[in-house]
Amino acid sequence: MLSDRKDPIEFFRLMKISWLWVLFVLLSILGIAIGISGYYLQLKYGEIVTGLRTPGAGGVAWGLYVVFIIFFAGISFGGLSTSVAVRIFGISELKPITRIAEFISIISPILAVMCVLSDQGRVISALINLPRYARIASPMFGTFSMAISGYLFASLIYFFLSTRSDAYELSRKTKGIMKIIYKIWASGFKGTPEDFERHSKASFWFAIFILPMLVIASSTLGFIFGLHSGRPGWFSALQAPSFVIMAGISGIGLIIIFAYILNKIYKDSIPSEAIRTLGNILMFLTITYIYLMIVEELTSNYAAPKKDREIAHIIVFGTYAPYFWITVISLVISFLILFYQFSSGKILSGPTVISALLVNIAAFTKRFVLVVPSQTHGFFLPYPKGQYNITAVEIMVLIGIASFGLLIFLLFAKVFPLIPLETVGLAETPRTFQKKKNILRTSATLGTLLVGISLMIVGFISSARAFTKYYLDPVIPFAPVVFIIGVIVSFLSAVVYEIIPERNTQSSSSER
Amino acid sequence: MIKDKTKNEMIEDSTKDNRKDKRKIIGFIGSFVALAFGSSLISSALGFLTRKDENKKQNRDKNKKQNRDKKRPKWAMVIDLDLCTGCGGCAIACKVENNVPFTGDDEKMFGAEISWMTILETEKGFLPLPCFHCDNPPCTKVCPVGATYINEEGIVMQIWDRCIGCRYCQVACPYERKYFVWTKPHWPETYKQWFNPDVATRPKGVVEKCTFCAHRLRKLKEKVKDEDREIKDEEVRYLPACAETCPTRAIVFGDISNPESIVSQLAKSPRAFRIEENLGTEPKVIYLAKEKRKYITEGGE
Amino acid sequence: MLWRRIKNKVENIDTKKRRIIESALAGFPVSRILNDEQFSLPYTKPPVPGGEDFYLGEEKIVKTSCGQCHVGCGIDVRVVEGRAVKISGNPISTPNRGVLGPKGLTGIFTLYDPDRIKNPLIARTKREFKDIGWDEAIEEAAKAISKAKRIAILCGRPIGFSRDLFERFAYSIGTPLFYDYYDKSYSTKALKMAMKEATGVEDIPGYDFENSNYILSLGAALFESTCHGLRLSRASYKIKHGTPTIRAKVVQVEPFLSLTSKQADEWIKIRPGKYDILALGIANVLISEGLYYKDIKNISEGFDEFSKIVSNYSPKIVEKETGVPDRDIVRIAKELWFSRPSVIVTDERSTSTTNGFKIAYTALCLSVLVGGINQPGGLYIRQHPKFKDWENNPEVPKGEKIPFYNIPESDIDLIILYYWNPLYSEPACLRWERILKNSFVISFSPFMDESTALADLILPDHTFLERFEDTQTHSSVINPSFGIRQPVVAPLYNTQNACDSLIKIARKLGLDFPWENFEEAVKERLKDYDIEEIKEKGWFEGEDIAVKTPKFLFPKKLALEEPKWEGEGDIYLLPYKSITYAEGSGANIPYLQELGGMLRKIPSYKSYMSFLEISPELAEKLDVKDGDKVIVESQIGEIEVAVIIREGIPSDCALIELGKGHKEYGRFAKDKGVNPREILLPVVGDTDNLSHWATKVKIKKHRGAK
Repeated sequence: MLSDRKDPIEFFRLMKISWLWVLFVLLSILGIAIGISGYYLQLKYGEIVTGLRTPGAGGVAWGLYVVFIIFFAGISFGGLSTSVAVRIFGISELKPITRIAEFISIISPILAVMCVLSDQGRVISALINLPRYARIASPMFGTFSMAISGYLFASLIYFFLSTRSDAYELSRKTKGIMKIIYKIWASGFKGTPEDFERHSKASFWFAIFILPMLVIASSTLGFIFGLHSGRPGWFSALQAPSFVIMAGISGIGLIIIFAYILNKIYKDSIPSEAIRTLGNILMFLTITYIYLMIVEELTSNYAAPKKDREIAHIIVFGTYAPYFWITVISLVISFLILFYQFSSGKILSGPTVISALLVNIAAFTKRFVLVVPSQTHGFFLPYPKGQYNITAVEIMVLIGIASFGLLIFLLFAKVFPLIPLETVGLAETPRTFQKKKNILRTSATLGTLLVGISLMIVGFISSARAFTKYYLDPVIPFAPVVFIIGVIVSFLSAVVYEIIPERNTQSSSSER
Repeated sequence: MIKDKTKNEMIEDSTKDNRKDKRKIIGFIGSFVALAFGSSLISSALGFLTRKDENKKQNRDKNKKQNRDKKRPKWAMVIDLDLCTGCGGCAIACKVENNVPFTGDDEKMFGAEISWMTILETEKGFLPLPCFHCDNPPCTKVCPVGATYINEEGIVMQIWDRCIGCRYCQVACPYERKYFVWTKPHWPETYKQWFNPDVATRPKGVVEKCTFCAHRLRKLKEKVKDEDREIKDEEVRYLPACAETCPTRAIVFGDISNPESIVSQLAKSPRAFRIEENLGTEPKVIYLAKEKRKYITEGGE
Repeated sequence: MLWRRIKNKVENIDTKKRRIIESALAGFPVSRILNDEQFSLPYTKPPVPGGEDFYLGEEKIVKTSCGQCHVGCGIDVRVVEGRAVKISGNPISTPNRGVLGPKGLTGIFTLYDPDRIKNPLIARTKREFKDIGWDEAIEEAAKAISKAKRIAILCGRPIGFSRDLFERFAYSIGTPLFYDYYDKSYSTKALKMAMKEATGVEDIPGYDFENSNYILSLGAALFESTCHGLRLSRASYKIKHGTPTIRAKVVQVEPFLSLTSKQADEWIKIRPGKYDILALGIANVLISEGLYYKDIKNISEGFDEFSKIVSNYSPKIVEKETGVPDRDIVRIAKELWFSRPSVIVTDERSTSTTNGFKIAYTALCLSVLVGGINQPGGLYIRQHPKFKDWENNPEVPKGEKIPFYNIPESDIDLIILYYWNPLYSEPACLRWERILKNSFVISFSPFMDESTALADLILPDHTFLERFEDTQTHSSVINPSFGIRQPVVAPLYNTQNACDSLIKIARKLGLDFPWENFEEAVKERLKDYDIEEIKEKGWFEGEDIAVKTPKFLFPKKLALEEPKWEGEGDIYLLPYKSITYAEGSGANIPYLQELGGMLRKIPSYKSYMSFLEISPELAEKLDVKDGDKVIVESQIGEIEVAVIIREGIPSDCALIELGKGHKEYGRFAKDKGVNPREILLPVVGDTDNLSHWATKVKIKKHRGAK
C-alpha cells in the first residue's frame, strides 16, 4: 500500500479546502462571536451577569469557569504525559497519536489561560500585576507558572522538535512560500541518521525532565483546593493525587476521541492497537481513581468533622446527588468496558470511544461536585445556604473559548499533518546511527541548561519574597517572569542540542 | 574514477555546505547564549545590588525618632455579645464611613450585597461580625499577587489597585468576611457629596473587607507624631466607626499586646471566646458571652 | 542622592500641609492617564453651594442635633470642604451621651436625598406643580389664608419653639384647630395624660435607667423605636460594666418575640393589651404581702381606695385574663421588690390598644408603689429649663377643637401641614385623600410625600442639618437640658426655614410677629443663656431645679375594660414600628431599608418588601409556606403581602411592620411594600386618639401568581 499513499500532502489534504472544513470553520467563528458578545456583557456590567455571588450571602464565588480551568489544564497533562510515556517506556503502539496528543497539550493551556482571564474581576490588572507580583506561597502561582506556562512551552518545544523531520519531508515536496515556511520549521534538519539519533536522545532526556514537572504542576492545581482548613469538603490530603490522576484520565480520554475522529477522517492512519493500548492505560487510571474516591467517601462518612460529613451527605444523597452518581456510574461503566477489552484480548474501538466520552463527562461532573457544594453548604457560621444558577453569559463565554480551540485545530490541520508521517508509512527513519562527540554542542546545551536553572532559582527565590521583611514586592522586579523565562530557557537547551549541526571532519568520512 | 570524483566532490560540497550551515547556526546560537547569559548576569547583579536595600531602610529608620526595635502594637477588638442589642448601628456606621454602596431592590442583586460589618441572628442573640484580622490569615496566604497582606501591626490590609479579582481570598476565608464588588454601584448624583474623602471608592472587580478603620488609625498616628508622644488607650478605645457609635458600647478596640489596655484585660475574662479557633487562623476579634454554646453553631469550638 | 533628599523632605512635612497636598492631588486625574476607571477616586464631586466659604482640605466638626426622630440626640457632624460627611454622637448631650443608633447616622442621607423639593411649588389643579419664586409663594399663601374661613394647622413633630410659633400663628388668625404631636395616633399621649392625671405635670415620665437594678418593660420597645431613645442601650453599658457584682435585669412583657424581647433577660408572654391587668396583679401581690414603699402614705393620696381596687385582682384571676402564669406574677413581684431600685416602663407601643391611658396609669401606680417618685433608679418627674416667653401671646380662640379623627371631609377650607403626613400615618388613612382634595393645602415639607403631593402650595423647608432652631428632647431624660440646631452646610437648594416662611406670611397678614426671622425669635427666648457657648458645645445641661414633688394621686375608680377590637375577622393585626422606620420617615434611605433584611435573614434586595409575620400553626391553618402571598382584609380595604413564618407569635395574631408602602416619597420608598394603615379601622381609644392595635382582619391565601 505504500505506493498508494506516496504524497503526504495528498493524503492529509494539506492546503486543500473542502466544504465540510469550511462549514466547521464557520461554526467555530460563530461560536467565537457568541463568546465575544458574552464577554463584552461581562466586561460592561461586571461579573454580576454570571450566576456567581458572594458565598456568605447566598451564592458561590467559583463556578463553571474554575471547573473549566481545571478541565483544560488537566487535558494538557494527559496529552503531554502520553508522548512522554512513549519516549520513556518505549510503547511503540502509541507513536501515531503522539502528534495529536502534543497538539492538544498546546491548545489546552491557551484555553485554560483564556478561562482564567475571563474569570478575573479585572483583566488588565491581572495582566500587569501577575507577572510583577506573583507570590510562590499562593497555590495559584503553581497554576499559571507551571501548569499553564510550563505545559505550554514544554509542549511547544517538544512539538517543534518532533515535527522537524516531517517539516523537512514536506519542504522537499512543496514549492513557493510553503517551502520556505517548512524549511524554517525544519531549521537545519537534514534527514541524516545523526539528526534522528540526536532527536531521539534529546527527546528522551526532555521527557525525563518533564515528568516531574507534570506531576508537580497538576498537584498544585489540587493544592488550590486542598489547602483550606476553613472549607469543609475541600480540606483533604488526597486532593493533589486525585487531581493528577483525573487529569490523566480526562486527557487520555480526549486523545482517544480525537484519535478515533482522525482515523475516520484520514482513512486507516491510526492502527487500532494504539487505541487499545490507550484504553488499557485508561483502565488502570480509572480503577485507581475509583479507589481514591472510595477512600475519600469512606473517610468523610466515617470519622470526619461534622461539617465534612454534612457535605459528604449532601453530595451523595442531597441536592448534588445527580452529579455524584453520574460520575460514579460513568467511571464504573467505562472501567467495565475497558476491562472487558483488556481481558478478552479483542480490540473494540467503538466501545473504547464511548468509555472515553463517559470518562470526560465524569471528569466534568466530579469537578463540579468538588467546587460548588463546599461553597453553598460549607460554613461554620449560620449563613443562609447558597444556590448557583448558571446563566447564559457563562455558557456563551465557554462556547467562545471552545470554538477558539476548535478553530486553531482546524486551521492547523490544513497546514501540517497531525499524524507522524513515518507511522503512516510516508517517510523513512534510518535505523543506523553513529555516536559522535561534539564538544561545542554539549557545552552549549549544558550552558543553556545552567542559565535556565539559575534564572529559575533566582526568580523563585525572589518571588518567594526571601530576604525581605514586610515588603510586598519581589526584590527583583518582574521576578515571576524571570522564573518562567528560566523554565523556557531550560527547555530550550534541548533545542540547542538538536539544532547545532554536526562538525563534519575529513577523518570521520574517510573511515567508511 | 567517476565514483572517486563524485565522492570527492560530494565531500567537498558537503564540507562547504556544512561550513555555511555551521556558520549560520553558530551565529544564531552564539547570540542566543550570549543574550541568556547576559540577562542572567544582569538579573543576579540586580538582585545583589538591591539586596542592600534592607540596610538603606535601616539607616532611614535610624533617622526617624523612634527605634527600629520598638515594639509595634497589635490591634484587636472585643465585642460583648451580652450587651449587643442587634440595632444595626455598627453596620450603618461602617457603610457611611467607608463609602460602601447599597444594594437596591433589583432581584439580580441577590447575593451581591456588600456589608463589611454583618450581624447574624442566632438562637440566643446577635452576632456582629467584622473581619477578624487573623494572625495566621488564610486569605493572605492564597492571594496570587499579594493584594491582601498583614502589616506589622496585625491589621490585614488590602491594596485595591493590585487586586485582580480572582476571588481566591473570598473562598479561602472560613468566616466569609470578604466581599467581591460584583457590579459598579449606581450612586445617585447627590449621594456623591457625602463620600468620606479618606477612603477610596472601589471599582468593580475587586475584593474588599473591613479594615478596622485603618485610615482613622493613620490619622491618629500622624496627630500623635506631631505632638511627639505615644498613642493612649483612651483615644483608641472607640476609634473605628462601629465602636464609636455602638449604643451599648459593646465594641471596644485597642492594643492587645499592651497589658494595660482594656482590650487585653477583657480578653482574659472567663466569658471570652473566639470563633472557630480550631481552624488555626488565630482571629483577633474576641467575643464575650455568658452562654457561648448558643453562639457556636455546627462547626464546633 | 537627590532621591533620598526628596524622600526625607516628603516624610517630614507637616501633616496639615500634607493633607492639603493630598487632597489637591486627589483631584489629579490619574485615572485619565491610564484611561481606566479602576483606580482611586473616579468620581468628580458635584460643586458645593455657597462654595467660597471653605478652603481646600478644610475639615471641621459642627455640633447640632439630630432630627430623624423626636428624641433629638446631640450630634457632631464632620464637614469636609463644605460637605457633611459623617455624623457621630455628642458626648455631652443628655439623651445619648455620645452614641448614636442606626437612624441618627443616616441624617446625611436625608440631606443629600436625590428627590428633595428644590423650589417652592404651586398647583392650580391638584398634582400639577409649577415652580414659583419665594415672594410670590408667600403672597399666595397669605392670600389663601386671608380668604379661608375654617383653617386647620397640623404641626406634627416639633415640641419646642417651632411648635410654639405655629401655635401663636394659629391662635393669632383665630382658629382653634391647632393639632400638635400629641394628636397623632401613634404618640405618647397616654403617658402624658397619665402623668397629668396622677401628678398634675403635663409631660411624659422620666426614668433613671442608669441607677436601676430591675427594669420591667410592659411592652415598651426599649431597644427599638421608642420615645426613650437610646437611653436604655446607653445605660446598659453602665449597668453591666460600671457597677461591680450588680447586673440589672430587663424583663420584657410582650405578646410576641420582638427584637427587645430577644435581647431582654426574660420574656413574659401576655395577651395583647392586658398590661394594666398584669400591673394590678403585681400590685396585688406587693400590697398583700406588705412589700411597698414605706413612705407611700405621705407622698400620695388615695392609697387605701387603690388597695381595695387591687384586691380584686388576685394572681389567679390575672392569669385567666392575661395568660401569664400566676407563679410568674408572684415571682416578678418579689423580684421587683427585692432588687430595688426598679422601674416599670411603658411607651407608645404599650399604649397602642384602646386602653392605653389605663395601661400608662397603672404602670405609674406600680412604679410609685415600688419606689416612690424622684428616688434614684426609679420614676422621676422631668425637669425643663426655664425660657423667657415671647410677648403678647394670643389667647386660645373660642370655638370647639374638633378631635383629630373627626375632621370633616369637606368643611375645612385650608390645611397647613408641617412634619405630618396624615394620608400615610393615620389609621384609615385613605379618608384623608378626600379631606386633602377638598381643601387648599399648604405644605412645608422638603420631601414629596403623599400628603404633599395633594398640596396646592409647597414652601419647602430646610432639612434639619440646614436650619437654626432649638431642640427640646422628647425622651425620658430627667435633668433640665436642651440642645441647639444650627446649619452645618449652606442650603443646597432654594429652600427656606419653615418658621421663617411662617413669620413672613404672618407679617404679610399683619399679625403681631415682631421678628425678622426665626433666629431672632429663638434668641429672644434664650436670652438668659449664652447662645454662643451653646452653639459651640451643642447642648446645654443645667442643674437640678429644686421643686416640690407633687403628690401622686392614685385612681379612685378604675374600671378596667377589655381593649376594643373591631372587625369581622378572627386574626388580631399588630402593626409595629421596627428600629429602622420609626414614624415611617426612614423609608427613603436605602441603607435603613436594607438593615431590616439583615436582621431577619432575608437577602437585602427583598427587604424593601413588606412581610406578614405569622406563627407556624397559623401558617398550617392557612396552608401557606414561607414567601407565599396572602391577602389581609378588613372592612375598609385589603392588602397583599408575603408571609414569613417565625416562632414567638401567638397563633391568632399577625405582625406587620409599619413604615413601608409609600406611594410617593422618593425613589427608594415609592411603591415598595404595603401600608397596613390603609386597612386599620378608625377605633378611638381612651386617650381620645385613634388606636393602632384595634383591628381584627381576615387572612386568606392569594390564588394565582406568587
